[in-house]
Amino acid sequence: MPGLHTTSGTIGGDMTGEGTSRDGGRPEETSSADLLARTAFDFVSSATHQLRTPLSGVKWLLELAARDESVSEETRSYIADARDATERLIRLVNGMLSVSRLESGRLPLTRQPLALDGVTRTVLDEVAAIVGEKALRVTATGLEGAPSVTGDPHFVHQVVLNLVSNAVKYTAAGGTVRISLAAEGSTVAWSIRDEGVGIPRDAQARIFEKFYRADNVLTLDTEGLGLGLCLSKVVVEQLGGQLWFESIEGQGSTFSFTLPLARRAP
Amino acid sequence: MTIEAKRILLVEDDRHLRHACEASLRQSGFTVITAADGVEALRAAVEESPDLILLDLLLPRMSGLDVLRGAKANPKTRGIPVLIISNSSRS
Repeated sequence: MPGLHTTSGTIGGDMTGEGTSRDGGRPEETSSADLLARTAFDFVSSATHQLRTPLSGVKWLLELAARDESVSEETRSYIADARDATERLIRLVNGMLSVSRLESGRLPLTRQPLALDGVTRTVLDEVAAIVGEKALRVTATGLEGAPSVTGDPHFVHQVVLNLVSNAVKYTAAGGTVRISLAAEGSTVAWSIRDEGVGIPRDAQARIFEKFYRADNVLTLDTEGLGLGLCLSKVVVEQLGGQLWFESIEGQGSTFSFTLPLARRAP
Repeated sequence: MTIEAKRILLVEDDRHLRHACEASLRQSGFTVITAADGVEALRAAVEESPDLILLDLLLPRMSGLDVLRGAKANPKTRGIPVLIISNSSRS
């Protein structure tokens, strides 16, 4: 089907392919649903790509402006806010691009031996500031001597960061977050339990949808794009693991994932 | 040779990114020559003999990789180091 892999300009043209297959004139290898999914992918991929370049320009120019010592304190605060907003947009665009590429299989994940205890420690260092600010207690069990898994270092780090950030974000000041790591058969299970607001029963079926955020977090003073859990689930499943949660509204949530054990060198 | 004397050819088609990158390099003390497409880049490389080329990959008229091939094929520009800068991730 020519034109399918081109950018947003020909999306209308791509859609006409759907008609020919439904008319039954000749058998099509691609179903309408596949075609629609691929068209949606092409659109998201192209649009986000087009957004990235100007956003990088804006961020960079704001960084230059922030270096100018002649601007007033007030102007400096505007620049800082604009830079924060730009960074948020860049995160959103990058998240959309990653999810869309992962879902379409166009972002192949690497598979290499990976130590989840090390990933966990790195992530805990990254969130140390907010953990300190909120006076949270973070416990981690089973990290010592945990066997390695097979995974993509960048994306598994992203999964752990998403889950730890959520737990830290939604647990009230002074609360406890518990992380555990354990070998289970041919997999390693990583788990995090928070004392957050929990996920309402009617929202539980939807939390892995893109951009979905449960009603009870919208009223909290927290930021979220609604992409982290979706991305995490896609990554873990593509690596041959599973990601799930248990939650009671008002009491907290436990998010867990498994990844296959790394093969030992012969 | 001091940093002031080093001349960089910056090849980037996006006006805002080019501006930001040029300003950063100038603030660091480099002399900056800019080009907004591949054809302009090859011409500037020959005429200006920069000490370094910062090269974007997605360019109008001639791609960054073709600029690289062209620069390496020409004895006048063959010795100039080229650093590829690209805004695309793991694609």
